[in-house]
Amino acid sequence: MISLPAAFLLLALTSMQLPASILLDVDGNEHVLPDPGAKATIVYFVTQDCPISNRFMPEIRRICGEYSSRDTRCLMAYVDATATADEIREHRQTYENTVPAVHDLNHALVGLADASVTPEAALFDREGNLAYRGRINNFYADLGTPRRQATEHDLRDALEDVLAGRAVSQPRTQAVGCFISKFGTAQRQESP
Amino acid sequence: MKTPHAPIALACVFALLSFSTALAVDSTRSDAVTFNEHVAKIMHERCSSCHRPGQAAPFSLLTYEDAAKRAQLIGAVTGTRYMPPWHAETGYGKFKGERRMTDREIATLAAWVEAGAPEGPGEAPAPPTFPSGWILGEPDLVLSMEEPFTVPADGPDVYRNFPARVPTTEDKWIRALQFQPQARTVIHHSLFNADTSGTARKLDARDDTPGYSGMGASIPGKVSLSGWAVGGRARVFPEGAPLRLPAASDFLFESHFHPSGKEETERSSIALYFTDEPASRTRLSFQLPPRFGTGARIDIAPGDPSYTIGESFTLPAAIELYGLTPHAHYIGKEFKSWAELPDGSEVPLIWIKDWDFAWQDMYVYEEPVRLPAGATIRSSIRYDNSAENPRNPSNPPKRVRWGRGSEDEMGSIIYMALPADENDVKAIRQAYSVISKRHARQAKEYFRARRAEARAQP
Repeated sequence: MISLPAAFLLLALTSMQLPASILLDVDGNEHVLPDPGAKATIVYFVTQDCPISNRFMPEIRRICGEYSSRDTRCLMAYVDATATADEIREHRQTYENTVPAVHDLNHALVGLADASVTPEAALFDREGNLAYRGRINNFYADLGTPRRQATEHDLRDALEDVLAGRAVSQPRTQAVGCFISKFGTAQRQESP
Repeated sequence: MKTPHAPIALACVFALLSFSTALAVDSTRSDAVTFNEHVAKIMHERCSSCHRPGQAAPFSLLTYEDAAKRAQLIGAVTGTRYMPPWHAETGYGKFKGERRMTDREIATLAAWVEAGAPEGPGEAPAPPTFPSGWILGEPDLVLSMEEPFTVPADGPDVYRNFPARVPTTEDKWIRALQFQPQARTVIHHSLFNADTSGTARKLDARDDTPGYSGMGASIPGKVSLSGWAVGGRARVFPEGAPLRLPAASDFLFESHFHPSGKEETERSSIALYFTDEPASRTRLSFQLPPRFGTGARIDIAPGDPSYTIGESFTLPAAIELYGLTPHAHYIGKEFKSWAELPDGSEVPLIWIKDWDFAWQDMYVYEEPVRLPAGATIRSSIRYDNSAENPRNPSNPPKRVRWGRGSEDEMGSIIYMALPADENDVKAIRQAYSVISKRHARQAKEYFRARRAEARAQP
């Protein structure tokens, strides 16, 4: 009686682990996930027209810049399947975003991290375990309710834990933002 | 409840029940709810005026694809009434331009989301068209910010004030106006004033950046010329009551911006429409409590979730109340105002349950509210200075008193009215000045006590 839920849990845990895979970014460069040369990999889930996601662009740039010297890789996942390559290119230019970006057309990364909104961060350790998933910080208390400044920096805290080899104290949080929509993903899958 | 009334009450309850059941049955037939047949109409009527290219809203809501890929978000934000943004309670004053969905519309959207956001057969109704340029035609005068202001990409919200020279050599009467911002994604509201003292221009000269910061510094004799908030359109003033634009003054844009993640450039313009007819009716403007609450002795302990101020004004003569503007800063939580009539009945004027500083609306009644002599207008303003209030600018909460800074508080409701009879203007003003003077005395004592306290501190 105990073995069934236990097996289910094990499966669920296993599915949280990132299988080694190669991703092609929008500039045509390959990225190995999990990156064997990095202690930590952050995947940011974003949409080009979500104002909350956009307001986080400077903080995303800052985190990636500050941690790049500490064996941390960053990747942006654009999750709107209906977005065109031009829209993504323009968005990256507008927000001076040089972080490598993939268009997660089939929501493979969304599924791996079980992301539900943008912006949301998934933090994988060197083995590809999902060490943290959730908000970048608590700047938004709710939709339409930004604080003067963030008072809890969940992603940075989780990064510090992972880089120090500790268990992340708060491994899951609820992000505030725009819901990720499956719209457009099915058609794209049917006609590769 | 007295027994004879019970059957009537029961019948009413039954009628209500069967009505809501009818609604429920309708909305649960989610298989029947489609974009083309039901949702497009709601989107076009309630969302598209802002959610279209070139407007303040972040994305368009015109087509099936626009709506379908945001179906869950649409369901969530309409369900909580975060969108469309409208902060006054239904049934508590009826205002022009109410951006509200009916319960039925919200239920229809929820059913559509539940059904997987189907497009449905046939074609969607064509999206509405919107007039371009100035809605009211060619303006008599257009004023613009003298220099463009760069809104930073990042950081807290920005409050900045920009003077623009008024070139007219004589006073003008404004019968209507329309505000036109440039950086529509970052500007949230702008309050308009005229400054004849030169103070604003001096403040502007303090640094090289255009304008000066703050939530409306004290400008002696500042003349309020209404304002604009996101979603606002052209504003036409009541017949016979145009606004006076003083000659050779500075027009002030007092604007609120929220950074969007990238730098934006704002250069606001305003189109003014004049009339040759000077005001024939006297605009009466009064605040409860008066003077933005300087005399309300505001002193909110850190952590206090419910601190209330208020004031009342008994009218010596009849007025037509045509609008009001609530004002508080970040920890303002609830505004309520009503009038008690001599016959004992109550007239609801406004109720905002969850004040959001970001939406500085001026609420204009659909039909002016006529209040007779002897009516008492009451205001009640509640603050939440707890750590649980995410809008609290201080973490941990601090003691909050009256001030102009964003961490200080103010509190008043500004009422705008016309006298029912011009001969009563003096009597109304005299009655109000009694309250206003009392608050002036209280303010004097309040600030004296604060200075003494500051001196006593080591």
